[in-house]
Parts: sequence; structure tokens; C-alpha cells
Amino acid sequence: MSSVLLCNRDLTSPAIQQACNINLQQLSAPHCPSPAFAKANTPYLLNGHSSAQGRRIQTLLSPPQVARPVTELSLTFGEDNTVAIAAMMEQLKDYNIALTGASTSVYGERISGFAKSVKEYQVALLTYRDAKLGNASNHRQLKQQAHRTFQRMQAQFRAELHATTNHISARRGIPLTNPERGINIARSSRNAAKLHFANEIEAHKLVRFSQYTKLLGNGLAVIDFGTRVGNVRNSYRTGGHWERDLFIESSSFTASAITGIATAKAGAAALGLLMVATPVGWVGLLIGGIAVVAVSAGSSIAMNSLVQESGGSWYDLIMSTLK
Amino acid sequence: MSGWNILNIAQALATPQRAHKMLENSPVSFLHANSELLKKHTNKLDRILAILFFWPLMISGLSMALLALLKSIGLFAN
Repeated sequence: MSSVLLCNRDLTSPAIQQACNINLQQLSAPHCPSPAFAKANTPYLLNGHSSAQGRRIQTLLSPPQVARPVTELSLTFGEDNTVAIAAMMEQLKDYNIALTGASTSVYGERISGFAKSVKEYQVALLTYRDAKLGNASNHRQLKQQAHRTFQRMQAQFRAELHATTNHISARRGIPLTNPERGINIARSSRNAAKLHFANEIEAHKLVRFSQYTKLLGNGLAVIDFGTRVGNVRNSYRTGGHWERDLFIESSSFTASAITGIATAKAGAAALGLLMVATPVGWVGLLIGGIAVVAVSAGSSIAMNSLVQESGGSWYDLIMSTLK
Repeated sequence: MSGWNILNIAQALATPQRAHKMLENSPVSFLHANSELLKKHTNKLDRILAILFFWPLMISGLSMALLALLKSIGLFAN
């Protein structure tokens, strides 16, 4: 277990002591074993001067384009939740890909509905936070609204919420399972957050997650649901080969969607012919239907990962042929 | 109108009517469009457009699924 401290502005020793009851001597920075004060958006290792794993996690979080979103995320969503939500979003992203592929099916609509209701709840929380910070008079009403969007999400998507949050073990619940938790985090305005990592995999997930996050001016962080666009934009911002990434993202999306649609369509036709030619009946139809959906989702996921992994070399090949 | 409906109509216009009738008469007819009604209200250009849309989509989609399957069982060893 390694702990990392992050703050969104420079904090002196007494300020840190007050904010999270930590002595400055306990912290260590990558190039400075005993800092005089805690710099903003810099990961400080807590009590881990000699831990190799802690050092590696610290290096992962160190680049400014990672450290800043991670800091804002931890302060927006709460420190014990951020790592958990990162793991959850990783899972949601996998769903998302399966869905865009089979987006013509009923289940596709259901999942995009789920992502939408999570987004609505998030927006309601952030509006409430804005109102609270600006001392607006209608914050009570906005709190009610956050509660309502939460209840709607709970009622409509009980099964999906359970599937995406059941492996997350935050002690006080995460904002997706506990409305009070979300509202409390939205209300507080803190400067420092302490993150606990059980292993490096968690840190890796958090780094990936942070790249899908939008920072909205006054220290608010929201999850960017358009992850494919997020990938391209990140690469553009950090000066990478964004045209190459655009090629990879768009072609993998198209290939995966077409594969999913075609297999679903062929499956539906096969199902019709099967019903005519054999006496399978309605039970057979149900099993066949599930098989078609599984094949369609599976092949579109496979296609997506295939193009994601080889798309870059195809792009290089095309470009070198054109030159 | 969802993407599924567009595909259903394209399929009804692009496949031979006799073959499509089999699907329409099966118990899962609700999954397929009524080709007779569509034929009555479309012209030749509509049908050519449907063929141009439907068959390339199906052929490329299914061959991609097949290639992904073959790759996953390790046919293209590199």
C-alpha cells in the first residue's frame, strides 16, 4: 500500500498539518527528499522514502498533464473514491465499445441510457457545487434536483449499477451508490487529497482515467464520456501524432460498428430461416437470440481491439506508400 | 427512425423478394420489413441505392468478423 498526497495550490507546513494532519517531514518529492513546502499539482509520497513501488507510482503520476487532472479529480470525487471510480470507468469503457458495435440492438440503447443518466447526475452535482461555492440562494433546490437525478438513475438502472460498482470497496460508498456522499463532496472545498494505492495497476488505471477527464475552470473535473475523442484531443494537446490517433480511433470505431451490425443482421436472418426449417420453437428462439447478441457483441469487441492494436502500423504503411 | 429500421428496409429492397418472403412468413417476421409494401412505393433508383448500401456493408462486416475469428484462433501467425 502506497499513499500519495496531492494539493491544488502551494501549501506550507502548518496548512498541510491543518488540512490532513500530516507532517511535512513525512513527504518526499522525486528530486527532493525533504521539501520545504508542498508544491501544487505534484505527487508527494507519504512515509515511503524507500519503497520501490511507491517511487514507481509517484513517477507515473508526476507528469503535469497527469498530475493536474488527478489532483482535481481527487478533490471533486473524494480521495477514497477516485481510485475506485477509475476502475469502474475502465469497465464502463469496455461496455461502451461493445455497445457502439451492437448499437442497433435494444441493449445498446439501454447502456447509452445508463451512461446518460450517470452524466445527468454528475451535471446536477456540479451545478449544486457551483451554487454552493457562489452562495447562490437556490442551492437547496439544486440539492433536491441532484437527489432526484440520483433516484432516477437508481430506479432505472439497478442491474447495471450493481454490475459496475460491486467490486468497489470504498468505506462510505461512492457517489454512484450514496447520494449524500456525492453531495458532501460537492459541497466541500478542500485543497489537499491523500490517495491510497494497493498496487501499480491501480495507479495505471488512474492515469488512463485522468486523460479522459475534462477540467472546467474553477477546479471542477468531469468524466469525458466521448473517450475516443478524448484520446485524439490528448494527443493533439501533448503534441503527439494526433492524425495517426484520429485514424486509429475512427477506423476502429467504424470497423467495430460495421462488424457488430452485419453479424446481428445475419444472425436475425439465420434465426428466421431456422424457425422455418426446424421445429425449434420459442425456447430455441430465445437461446438463438442470446447467441446472436453474444456473437455480435463479441465480434465487435474483437474487431475494435484488433484495429486499435494494428491501426497505427496500417497508418504508417499508408503514409510511407503515399510519400 | 433508428439505424435498425434503415437496415431492415435496405435488406428488403436488396435481397431477392422470394428469399425475403421466407423471412417475412417466419415466426420472427417482426424483425423484418414488409418487402411487398416497400416494392410498391419505391422506384429502381431506390433499389439500386439499397443494394449499394446493403451488400458492401454486410460483406465487409461479415468478412471482418471472420478475419477477427481466424486471427483469434491464430491462423495468421507472424
